[in-house]
Amino acid sequence: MGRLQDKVVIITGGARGIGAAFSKAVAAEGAIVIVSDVRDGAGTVQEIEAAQGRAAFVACDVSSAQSTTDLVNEVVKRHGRIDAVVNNAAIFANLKRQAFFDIDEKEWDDVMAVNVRGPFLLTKAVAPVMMRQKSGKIVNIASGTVFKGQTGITHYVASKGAIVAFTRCVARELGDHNINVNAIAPGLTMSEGVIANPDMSGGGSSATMNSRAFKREQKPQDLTGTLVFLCSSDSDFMTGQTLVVDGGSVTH
Amino acid sequence: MSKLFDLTGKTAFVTGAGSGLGYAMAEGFAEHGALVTLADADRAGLDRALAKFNAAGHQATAVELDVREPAAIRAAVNNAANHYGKLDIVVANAGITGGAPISEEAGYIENIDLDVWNNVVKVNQTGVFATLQAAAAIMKPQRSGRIIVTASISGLRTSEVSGYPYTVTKAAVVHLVHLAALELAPFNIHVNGVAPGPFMTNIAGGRLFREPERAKAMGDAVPMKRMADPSEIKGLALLLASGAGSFITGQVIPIDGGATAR
Repeated sequence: MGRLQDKVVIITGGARGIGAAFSKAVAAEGAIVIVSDVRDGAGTVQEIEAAQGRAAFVACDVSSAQSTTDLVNEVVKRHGRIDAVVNNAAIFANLKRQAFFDIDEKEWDDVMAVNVRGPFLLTKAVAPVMMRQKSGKIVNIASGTVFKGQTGITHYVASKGAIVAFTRCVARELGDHNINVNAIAPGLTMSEGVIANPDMSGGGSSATMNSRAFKREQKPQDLTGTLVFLCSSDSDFMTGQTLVVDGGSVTH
Repeated sequence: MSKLFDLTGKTAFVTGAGSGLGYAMAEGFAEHGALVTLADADRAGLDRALAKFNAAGHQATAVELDVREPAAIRAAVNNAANHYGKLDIVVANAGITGGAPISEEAGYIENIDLDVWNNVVKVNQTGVFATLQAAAAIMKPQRSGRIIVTASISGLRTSEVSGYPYTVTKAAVVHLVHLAALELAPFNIHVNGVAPGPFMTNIAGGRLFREPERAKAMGDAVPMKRMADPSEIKGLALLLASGAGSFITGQVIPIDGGATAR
């Protein structure tokens, strides 16, 4: 028996990077994983199935109300319930570092649409399902940059600050319904997207590494234990929290 | 099944393990394969805990320990390390309440008895510090280890129902976690804290069980609208003690039904 045996878990942004690592980790714990992404998530699903796990891909653009509602309806149609939603999809790895006054309005809005409106819309769509069940786990992905005032990607940092606040508010609203809402704040994580972008994986990343108590690169696998914990009954009395998993860079 | 949370072959030392959160954490470790040393000042509680461990087939040893005696802590921790050949996990959990809340006359700052203050400092602050000293002395040469401190949401934020000695000592250990995490990380030692909210434990001489209306009010005050059972701490302690928490250090994590929502 896995720690998430037969739980139905949606992971947005599951096609690659941290989302793919999350998908594989919850599948390894016995969950039925809905890998969701604007990209094709077939690769993640194949890897999970090759390891005797259960997964399916359902496309979703989290910035669209229609698309998030369709995702929730499709999963309820297939499985009758949704035990956990991991709001992981975000614009990050492709961003270039720039002064905040050089960020154009369109790029700002695009980041907010995916990183803030996305978790809002999907949480809103799934809340009635979880309220009916009288159980559910929402896990949002924030960022350690919120607590550092990281420069160069101000739209991203601001969007993740909103997620910390959103997590607290929704936890308070949904506590009565036995729904847990928590967040994970990772440090700079060497996903394939980050590695491919020298603006992210270049000089700035060694500075980040040196700011940690553990002076090493962070891997997507460093986050999976916390994610499994927050999706499982082990965390039933935790809500509204943002767990920093960054090798001891931020102690807030 | 993955091995993320597995503790097979790991050894753990838990203070205040005779009841409540300490017992639950120790039991959670044992359920995941760890060999546990239970330490507590309460002999009867220790015997009950050991009997439950034995009945469940968990391997454990027990040691009577008053954390107000640093030399005794050092001896107990060293014995545990020698007995099992290493020490992977140390939980500095033993703690006491003391002093009325500031909303009551007995809790006014001028009315706090310094003997009460000093006793709470000895257990909650110096006792935790001395436990970390003993743990670090073993773990540094090992170049590995997990240390968990039981803080409290009272150490993160204050309210009218806070009392001076408990609140201030719990705040002190929050910073102890931060600082020790920095010093010990190069030795591959993780230092984290748990900050419980309302749990049904024997704290304050079992007051929560004697006064159910008080317990209910405490539960109603948090977003999840209930008190927690001590067993609900197991998962968080396991996260911080196992491979699942490989990159978490310097954190004090509230487990409080949403009371702090921070």
